[in-house]
Amino acid sequence: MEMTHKPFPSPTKAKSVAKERPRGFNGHRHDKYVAAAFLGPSLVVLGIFVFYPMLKTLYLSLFLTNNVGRPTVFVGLKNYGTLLASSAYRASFQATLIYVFSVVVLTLTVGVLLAQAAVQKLAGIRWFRTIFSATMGVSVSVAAIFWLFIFSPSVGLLDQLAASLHLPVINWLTTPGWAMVAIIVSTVWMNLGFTFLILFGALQMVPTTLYDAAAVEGASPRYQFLHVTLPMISPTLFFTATVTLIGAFKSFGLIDLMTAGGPNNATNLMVYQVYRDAFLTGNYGQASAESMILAVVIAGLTWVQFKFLEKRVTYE
Amino acid sequence: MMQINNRHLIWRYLGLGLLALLILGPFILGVWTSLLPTAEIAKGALIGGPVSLANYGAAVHQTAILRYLLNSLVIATLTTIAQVLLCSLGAYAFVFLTFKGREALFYVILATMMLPFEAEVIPNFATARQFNLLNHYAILVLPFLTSAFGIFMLRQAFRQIPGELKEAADIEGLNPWQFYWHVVLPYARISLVTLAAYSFLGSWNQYLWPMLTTFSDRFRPVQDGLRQLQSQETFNNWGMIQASAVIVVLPTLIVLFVGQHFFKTGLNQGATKS
Amino acid sequence: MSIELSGLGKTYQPDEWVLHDVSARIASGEFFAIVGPSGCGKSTLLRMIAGLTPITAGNLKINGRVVTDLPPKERQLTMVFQSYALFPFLSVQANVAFGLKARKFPPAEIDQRVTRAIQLVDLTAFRDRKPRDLSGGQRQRVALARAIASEAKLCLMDEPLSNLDAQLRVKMRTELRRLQQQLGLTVIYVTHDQVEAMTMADHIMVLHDHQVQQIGTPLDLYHHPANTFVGSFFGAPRMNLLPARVSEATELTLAQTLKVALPRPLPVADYTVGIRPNAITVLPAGTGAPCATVQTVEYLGAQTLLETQLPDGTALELIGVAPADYRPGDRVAVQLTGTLYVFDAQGRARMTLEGGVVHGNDAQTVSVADQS
Repeated sequence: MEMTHKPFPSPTKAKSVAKERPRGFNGHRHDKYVAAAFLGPSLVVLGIFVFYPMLKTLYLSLFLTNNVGRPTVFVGLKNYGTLLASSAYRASFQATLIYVFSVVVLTLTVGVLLAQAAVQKLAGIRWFRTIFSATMGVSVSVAAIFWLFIFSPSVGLLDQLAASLHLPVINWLTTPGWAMVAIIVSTVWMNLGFTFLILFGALQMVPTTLYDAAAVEGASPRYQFLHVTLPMISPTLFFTATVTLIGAFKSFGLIDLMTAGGPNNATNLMVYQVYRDAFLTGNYGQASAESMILAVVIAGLTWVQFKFLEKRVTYE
Repeated sequence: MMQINNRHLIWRYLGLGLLALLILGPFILGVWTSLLPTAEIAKGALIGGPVSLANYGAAVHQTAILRYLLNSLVIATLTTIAQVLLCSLGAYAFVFLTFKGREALFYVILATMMLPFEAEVIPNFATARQFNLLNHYAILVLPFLTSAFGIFMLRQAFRQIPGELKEAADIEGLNPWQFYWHVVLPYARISLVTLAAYSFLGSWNQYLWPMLTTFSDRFRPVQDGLRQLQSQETFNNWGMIQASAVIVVLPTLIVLFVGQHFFKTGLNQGATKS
Repeated sequence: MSIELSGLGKTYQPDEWVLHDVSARIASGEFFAIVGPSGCGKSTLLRMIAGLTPITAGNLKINGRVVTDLPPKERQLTMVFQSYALFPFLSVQANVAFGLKARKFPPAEIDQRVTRAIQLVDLTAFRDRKPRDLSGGQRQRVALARAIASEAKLCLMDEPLSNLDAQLRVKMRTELRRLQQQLGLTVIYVTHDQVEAMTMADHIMVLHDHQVQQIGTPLDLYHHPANTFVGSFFGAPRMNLLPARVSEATELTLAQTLKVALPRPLPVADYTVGIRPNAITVLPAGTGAPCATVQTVEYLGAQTLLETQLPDGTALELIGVAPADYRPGDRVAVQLTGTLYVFDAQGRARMTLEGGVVHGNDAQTVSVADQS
């Protein structure tokens, strides 16, 4: 599921779990029945659609499977071994890393730029704020179609511009390197609305007196940006970076619509590889091993994010 | 800001304008080409041709775009209602009830936030097939009836509710359900609305799961509907595809802008002394 | 480091003056307080001097140089903010060094200045702490140290003590004053607290209704208020303002009861008369003097404040005689024994009557100062 739109978990942290709130005496005896009734539905759903499939994926990853996904032969870690030895899988992993890294860096850079531009006090600035957050309302397939047209051969905007300027026409989506550029650009564009809103909120939270003090103390606007703005929003930057990172690792829709993993597997990112191996090739055992690797990467990143939010201290 | 003279102002607006163009460019291009006949687009004649709403008519009449929108609306609405209900009930248990293993259970749920649904589609698909749920609204809603993230978020919100309220309710003899319904939910309504918004968006934007589990226009949600249009007989009918994309994006954009207006008003009311 | 404000004004919307025609001269080494109720524009004025808020009208000179349109960093001043404006991610010493680093001073000099400034505010033991690990008072000192380290001779302070508790505030008043004198700083100090202004400042500017009401020494303002606002703003308990009328050239009637003979005629009109509670002597009822009815009694230990009402309903605050026990409903006689301030209908000071003035016609006036 394309869950790029994650809200900002409040900085109140998970570690306070252990803290008990004071409570009255009534109703305690029956608490466990009430809890079962209240929590039961959620636990059932999570059990069937999250816990069970995770274990099942792990299980399947240790087997060879038939064409409907039934395990046939236990092979231990052989599926993993095959993957690590496969140059195709390594290429997919590498492509994913390039994609993820570029998406995160570009999303944050442009996001900060947009947010910084939007905190200026100018007439009509709220129009720009609205515009900058607009891609928040764009779903993955709409984004893919808009950009597909821009990058599409001959009729697309870029090729027409190139032709009218007598520049060489690039086959964006059918040239390996350029196809990667195309999906990176499209993903960044789609991410910007959400990133902008979060970073803009963080910038607005910076007390203006800090800038006043810096200005009086002789700091230039550039110095203020580097030594006041960036440190002040660094917790938010980190949060945005991890959300974008996790989202990028999970990218599927844009790739499916724009390049279908091609050309020449150049944009065959991890989730797409899982989809191909499981649902197009029917190689469920290997796809499960790929899923496990994906799960470990994402779980690791999420864990880092948790740890950080837990440690994160709100100033004052 | 010190002494902004006119030349500075022009540069600032120029910068803002460029950034706005970067964001709006694809929208503008999409809307513009949706008004052009496909033949003109194919010739590369983006300017000067006749402009009409014909593509919209074609999209509405020749494709199932409206059905896709309806499907997505149904799925997203059901998902949102279910998530708000189940997550708030779950969060309530973690905040207001004491039972054995409460903390351990909470950590277990927290841990599921780390597991990507994308890595679990293989067994989930098998489950759906086994229970004959493929190609039906149910399979698009069932896995998302609750969310670990929602429980986590609402738990944080419920913890802000003063303990005295619970004590007062105990003294008054309210049962857990009454306290949940009459005190907790109204108290945390802002968090509930936030969760609802994210559930809705999350459901609306789903792509991989519906693609795997729906095969007919009757249940196909809009993201995969657009994929269908783009890959099928209408291939290269750019005008109509762009029109469909615009039809899909318009409602969310409107909701977003209206929502922002309210959001800003709320902010302004909170503004105080300079 | 002298400062000259001439006709400073500020508008955000055309013709809506947030500040209008503010002029003052502040001498080098002076502690100059700007005081007024909240919303009077005093912080705006300070920010205009700092260069943080553009000046709409008038001119600002610092040390004879026109700085009206210069950015803050070129005005050679420093500022202490109400919220302290400390950088939460920097240690105490990095906060103090912030401006010096921004101005690219050599590291050795930065170190030396920072060490000295931190020493001056007595925070050496805390130099590596983050602001969040400091108490309110300590944060305040960090802000001061930053101002000191910049070695600017003009320091602007925007309600620097208002976030401290009452005891600390009193202590910091003396300390600020000491630092200011020790370092020879010119300080422009904004506060809403008249006591702070009175105890610390060499000169005070009173701002109200977007305009300067009066500029003077603390004693000036207390003894010669230019108008009813200044009169009632300074001094505790507050000055009583009574409706009055001159019906014959030299006969002034306060609240339709108390009669005062004027030493010099005033035009027949309505006036307002200001009398501080300590200028009124309370006598037992029945001594022939006009009576007031006690409404509420407030014991402050050394003093007893009486909220009373004159026969016509005008409220009058009095200071009770120490051992006596007052109850609501008691009647007390009042005698005007201190200074009376006569203000015209617009609230401007017209005349000051000093010394004891007995009610009725046998008033004995010690001296009269004309202020119109």
